[in-house]
Amino acid sequence: MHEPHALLPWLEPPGGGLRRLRAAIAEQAYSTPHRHRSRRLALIGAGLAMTVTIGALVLPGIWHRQQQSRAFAAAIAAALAGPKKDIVVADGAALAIHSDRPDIRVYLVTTKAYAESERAPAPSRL
Amino acid sequence: MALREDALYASYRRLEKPLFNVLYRQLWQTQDCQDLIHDAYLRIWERREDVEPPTLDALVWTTALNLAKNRLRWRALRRFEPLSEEMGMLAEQGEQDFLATRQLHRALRQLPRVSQQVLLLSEFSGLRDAEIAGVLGIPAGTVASRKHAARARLKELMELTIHA
Repeated sequence: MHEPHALLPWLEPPGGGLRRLRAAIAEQAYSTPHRHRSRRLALIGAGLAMTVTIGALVLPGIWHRQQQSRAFAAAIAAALAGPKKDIVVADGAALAIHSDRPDIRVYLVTTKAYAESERAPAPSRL
Repeated sequence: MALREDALYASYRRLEKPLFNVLYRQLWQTQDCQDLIHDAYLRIWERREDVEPPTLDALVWTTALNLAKNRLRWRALRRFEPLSEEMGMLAEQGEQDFLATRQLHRALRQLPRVSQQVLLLSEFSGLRDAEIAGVLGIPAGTVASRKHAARARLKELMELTIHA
């Protein structure tokens, strides 16, 4: 009575399946290059924006540090070239050296032994 | 050689009805079956560069059965049961009455999954035993015995439900 052929009769699938598949593939074919192009443009835009942002954040700092380094080097050069009378001992630890610029103070820090040898008169040979 | 569009459509025309019949006896929902066949073909089309045309039909079967398995797992997680009205398709087409369809649904669910698929594929797919084995990933030598056992068990279950 219950043979599989009788239990499992053939059914007709609803229509329109192939048309739907064709439409989906056609849409995919149309949208894929568009999607790729817009994705590429978005990536380029994001890359540019990131570069500009990083530049805006980092470049002023670099420029400022370079300015400071130049000013510092100039102050040291001026101090070393300046007259000896401008060299004073500050707190017995460091020599305040003449600086051309009012906003920069220059100190020369040495070891104690070196400072004493500089201060002590050279032993005379008899 | 990559898959061509006309070969894909030819395969769809060839397999739509067998696929629908196998999937319907697993999912028992017309729309789900149609969506699943559509998705299987779209997935294959997306990988068309890697598809060898002679293996297309077997690949369609494997993809569709895997999608059906995922769908059934999804339903099990959500305790989803197809509406009874959905099973009326057989009755609508004048092939079986509604009660017999429900009995068949219950009986098929009681079969082990692989046996159920072997039975359905041998009834509807037109594939040979070795091809069914390839699609399901089981030893070729076991297809005939599984098919025989599944038919006998289905018959037994249907008679049990009638006499219950």
